[in-house]
Amino acid sequence: MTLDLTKIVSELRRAVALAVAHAQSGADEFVDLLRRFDDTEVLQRVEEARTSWLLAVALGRYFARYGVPEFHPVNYSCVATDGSIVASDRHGPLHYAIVNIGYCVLEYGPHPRARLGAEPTVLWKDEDLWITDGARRIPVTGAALAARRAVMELETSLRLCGDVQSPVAVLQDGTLIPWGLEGQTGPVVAWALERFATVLQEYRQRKIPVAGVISYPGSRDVVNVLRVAACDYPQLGRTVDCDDCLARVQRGERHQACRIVPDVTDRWLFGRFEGIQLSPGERSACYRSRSTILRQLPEEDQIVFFYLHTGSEIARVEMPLWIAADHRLLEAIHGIIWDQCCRARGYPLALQEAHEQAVVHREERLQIEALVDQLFADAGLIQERSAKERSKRVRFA
Amino acid sequence: MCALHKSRRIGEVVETSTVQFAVECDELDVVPELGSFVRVGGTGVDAIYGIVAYAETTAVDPGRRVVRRGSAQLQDRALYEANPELRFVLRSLFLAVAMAYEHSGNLMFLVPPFPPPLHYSVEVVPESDVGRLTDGCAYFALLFDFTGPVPAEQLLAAHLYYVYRKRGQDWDWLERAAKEIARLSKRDYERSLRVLGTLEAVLQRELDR
Repeated sequence: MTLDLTKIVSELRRAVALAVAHAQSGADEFVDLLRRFDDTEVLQRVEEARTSWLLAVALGRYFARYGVPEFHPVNYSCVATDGSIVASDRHGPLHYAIVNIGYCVLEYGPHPRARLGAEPTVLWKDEDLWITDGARRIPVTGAALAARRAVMELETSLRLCGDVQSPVAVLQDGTLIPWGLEGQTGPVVAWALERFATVLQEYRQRKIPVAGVISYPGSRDVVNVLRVAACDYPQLGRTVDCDDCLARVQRGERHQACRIVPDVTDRWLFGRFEGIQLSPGERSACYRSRSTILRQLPEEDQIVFFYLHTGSEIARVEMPLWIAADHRLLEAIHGIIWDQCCRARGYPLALQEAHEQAVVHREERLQIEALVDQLFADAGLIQERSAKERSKRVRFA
Repeated sequence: MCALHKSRRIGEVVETSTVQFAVECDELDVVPELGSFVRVGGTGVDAIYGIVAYAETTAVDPGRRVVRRGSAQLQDRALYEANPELRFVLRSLFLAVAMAYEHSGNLMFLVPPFPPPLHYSVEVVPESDVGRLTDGCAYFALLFDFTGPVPAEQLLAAHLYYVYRKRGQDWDWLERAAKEIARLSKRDYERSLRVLGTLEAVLQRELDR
């Protein structure tokens, strides 16, 4: 045993007690804040606010709720993809990455049909493994590789939509916002966004609605809007400015007015807070994300989101703006995701099956390594592994 | 190698050994009857014959638990139509006991010299072939000693009932079979009773109809 739990339990107990106290403090003021919430005024504040947090910009009223749409999908198609990455070991003899895109196509109606499978792609050529920036070469790993996988998932789904009955919705596992690219260097962002923007554009041109479903989301974009709403700077004739406020709080010059907003996620707000909480099947309003990475996409392809009670949790559903702007498509996405969640206990069935197809088990990863070694051996080369890699395999005691 | 009939294919071998082979069915829940004959091509032989000794339908991935999908409004066949992915995530398997093989036109009631190869097609033995497979009853010993999920007495009773029908309600054959069972279990009268008693109850119900 390398971690002695008895040595940390008391500290963890104190941390939990503090978190609970913080969540419960200011409850009355928080209720009052929601009662006084003025959408127009808050939107104005949000537009002008200088915050380090992400803020949700509502496309309608912030706390509007929408029930399961009257368009109740019975005959529809759902295409879902999910990808797994097997990256070669840096200590291994060959550099490559394998992207396994699992897919699930479900067609409901008079002639129900299903297609499940996976398409593996080996990335091994220079142009697959390196981003060239003049004389500099940047390896396609981490966030760049994840972005490449996301694009491959979208491309595969688009291809699978070719021969399915309408209406169709494409579902992706996780966010459609390429968060991983924030903080990356310019060449990496440009390389990744080029293909991402192209595939999103194709969805728009073919009018195929696509959505990313995030289970158990940790985002706080709407809660952060409540912080802006609670801010007392506007009463003092100033715009909301968090950096300035925090600096003054640290100097002991003022009290932080937004402390009445509990330290919770949007999931908690829409799942637990009376008056705001969603019922099964209901969705929240649509919100635009203010992620800076999205500003590099055309406006109609920028990502908006809503929260949905899937029957077992509050999920976040993301889609390009052009879908949210089309009432019929928005209702189709809402209805189809709800129907899919009903079929699989709170998480879209098509995504669940796509994930099952994509998974690469540990034994298969070992088989890939063995296959590479074998191929080298067939060519008369016995590959040496690094001492560190050997130590991991042998694990001397 | 015996040219097996494509249209009679029911599945393919996914586990194999000298004494038994597991078969994954092409269609979900389309499983041959317990106690019926199946055959598969073999290595160095024309065909290997087996008797279906057990069947099951489970999730393809053993790590996935099968959960309820239906309701009062959605049941049985309609449930499968509403969930077309089920035929991909579930699978039907059966186990066959190898009991004979055919080589150069000769039927040998022995376990095959080699197990049937993995992924080879398995087909249901047509009714017209049941007669020559069951002219003798010596192969009952293999079933009698077989240890599987289905008790050997139940398996034998199912097999006798199947052959009796495929041979056109052949009472003479059934009498011979009963004598062979009695001979095999002469030191265990209770066991003999369990096989013949089960069979008798089934046949009595059929006669009553």
